[in-house]
Amino acid sequence: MSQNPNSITLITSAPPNLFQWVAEYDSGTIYTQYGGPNRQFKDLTKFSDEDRLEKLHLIRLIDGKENEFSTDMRPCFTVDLMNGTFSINGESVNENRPQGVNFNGSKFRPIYHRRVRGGVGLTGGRSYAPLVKFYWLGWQATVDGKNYQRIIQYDVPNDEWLFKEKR
Amino acid sequence: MATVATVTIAESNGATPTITNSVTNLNMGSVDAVNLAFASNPIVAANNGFEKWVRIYLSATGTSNKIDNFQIWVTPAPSVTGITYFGNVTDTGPGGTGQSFVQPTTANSTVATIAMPTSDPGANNLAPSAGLGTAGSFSEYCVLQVRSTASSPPGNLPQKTFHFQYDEQ
Repeated sequence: MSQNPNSITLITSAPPNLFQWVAEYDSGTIYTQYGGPNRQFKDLTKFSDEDRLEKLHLIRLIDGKENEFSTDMRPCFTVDLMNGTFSINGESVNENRPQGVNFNGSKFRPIYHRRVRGGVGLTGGRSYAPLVKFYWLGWQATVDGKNYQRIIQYDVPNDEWLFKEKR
Repeated sequence: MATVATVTIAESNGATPTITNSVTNLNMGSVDAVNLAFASNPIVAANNGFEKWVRIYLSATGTSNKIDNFQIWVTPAPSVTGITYFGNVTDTGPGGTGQSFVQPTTANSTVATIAMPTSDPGANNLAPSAGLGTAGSFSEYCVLQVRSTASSPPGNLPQKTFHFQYDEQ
């Protein structure tokens, strides 16, 4: 009993990113994922309450290279954390708020993550380098002790998006 | 240039153990070694392959806060008479919690005792559930073993892939 000799060498590297996140503050400050060294998503919460995170965008990269953010650019996905609304390519989309829930005065907290999948050959099977499967961008808010979430899920292989919700 | 997280599969071998942070394959065979050239190390029918002690390894965090929601599975499902792939995780979890390393053996594994999931489990099935947020950190151990019987036919085993998946924030 032996295994197929035609194993494939796994390429180990960080999976290519399709988007960079861009944070826009009400002071006009722009903070981008690739705008400097050691940028991390958790840094978005380090700004003071006086300089509130207003919008979070996912900007599509071009040929794997970072785009500089400009107000003339139409981000692919945007969540407005002042009112919880969404836009895709500059056009508003309905996130289907639950009826009877008052979000006025609520604090919309940003949600962002992506799902990555890789594979290693077992018994000579196929190996494949890690690839991004999904991106998620949205918000969560607490109203009357209950946690609500609205998230755009972008399916990378199928180039499709849909809303996911909690409550 | 800032980058996203770099994640690989690490394997532990020997008694100490010797840790290889990034393997190129998980080929199973008749020796306890990483990146096996299995043609040179075939498993005789009615015997087991050496256990494979593997972990998800966060090599670099890049711009990410952490990685979590680890999910692992093997495809396709077993199809050869007398061949079974055992592991220590199911399609619910997280498995591997608190599992300390034990030198790999060809005896029936006391750790890899359940059939490996053969499809995306859909939920975290490898510990830690809190994820990893520090460069140079590891998940808990996933232990694998292939077992054969006297009725197992000679020749190559069907090709399989060990899939790993995580969410990056």
